[in-house]
Amino acid sequence: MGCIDLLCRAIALGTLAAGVGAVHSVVGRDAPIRVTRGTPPVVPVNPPQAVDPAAGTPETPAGASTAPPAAVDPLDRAGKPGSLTLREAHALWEQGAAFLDARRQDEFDAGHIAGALWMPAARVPTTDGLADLQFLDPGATVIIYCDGGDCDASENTAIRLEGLPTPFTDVRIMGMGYSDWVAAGLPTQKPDETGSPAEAAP
Amino acid sequence: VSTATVRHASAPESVVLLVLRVVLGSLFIAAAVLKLWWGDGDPPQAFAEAIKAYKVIPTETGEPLIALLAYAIPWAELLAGVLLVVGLWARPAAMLLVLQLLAFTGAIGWVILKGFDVKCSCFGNLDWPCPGTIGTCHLIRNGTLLAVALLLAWRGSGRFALWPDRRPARQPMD
Repeated sequence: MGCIDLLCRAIALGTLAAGVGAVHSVVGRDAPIRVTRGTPPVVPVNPPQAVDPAAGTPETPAGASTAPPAAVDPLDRAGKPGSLTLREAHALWEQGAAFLDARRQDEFDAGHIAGALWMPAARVPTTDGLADLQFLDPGATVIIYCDGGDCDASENTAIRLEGLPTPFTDVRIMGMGYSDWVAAGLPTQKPDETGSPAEAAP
Repeated sequence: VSTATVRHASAPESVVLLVLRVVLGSLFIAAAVLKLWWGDGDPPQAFAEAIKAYKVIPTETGEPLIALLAYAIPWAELLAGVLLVVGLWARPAAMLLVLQLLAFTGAIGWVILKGFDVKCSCFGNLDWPCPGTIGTCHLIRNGTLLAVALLLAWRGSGRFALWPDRRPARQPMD
């Protein structure tokens, strides 16, 4: 068996496996594999304000753009397009919205947003995950966070929540991460501490 | 040692090849089963999320490809692993693992180069043998596996196989 022959046979085996995999992906699942959210991101209730009304910029000259990105309050940065800013997320937190932490367990255990449930994507369909989610109304506002930047964990959890038999209908992502929440001095807790607004919510 | 047209590997070499085949094949069977069926969190979906996290394939346009690969990659591992263990078409099976390992190692190198904080997900939820996020340990592990796969692709199944491959007498290898 020459080298080219060997390579051809290996590729033939790989093609066969890909074919079996393709069939399996069709017959093996009720719902297709998803890695992007089918629905566009929910528009925030409180649209981000370009200018802080308290600051007021009456002397802005016409035609001059005086809003460099650096001037934006960290609380008003979304982190990702279509995601909640820290200010919006905190407003919803004060209203008792449920927060889900999509990070690793060790990160969650080291501290998380007060009242948040630990819910990385892989935990959603497990017995434990479903038991935790039972406390939440599928129509309620659910906010997912991880640690900002290019972390996809929030989105992965959102995809799973929207794909449940009784899907959650108001899932939002806080684009800024947990570390930004901490830096802004917003409320956090450790797992053994009590006082969870998520569990107090209906 | 040699017959007129074909010959088999020697018995000692065949034992070594058998052990390597069983070890490497079993590893990949385990990797495939953990990706497709075992483990928490709806395994093929979890593996698709892992492929996405590597950011080798653009998520927005590549969703169908990622969904296919979430099944095709473990099936290729399973097929190659089973063929290696039983000793049927062992050299092409080992060659398929070489190709896969080259691709996996490339993806791991990409993640290290980009500094992404990604878990390997090579064995589903199992962190074995390299704990934590992707790093040098994964490169060393893959390099070792690649060396074994290359050896098997070169030397073949040995004589202790369901279908021992034969070597042309005009290419003595011992």
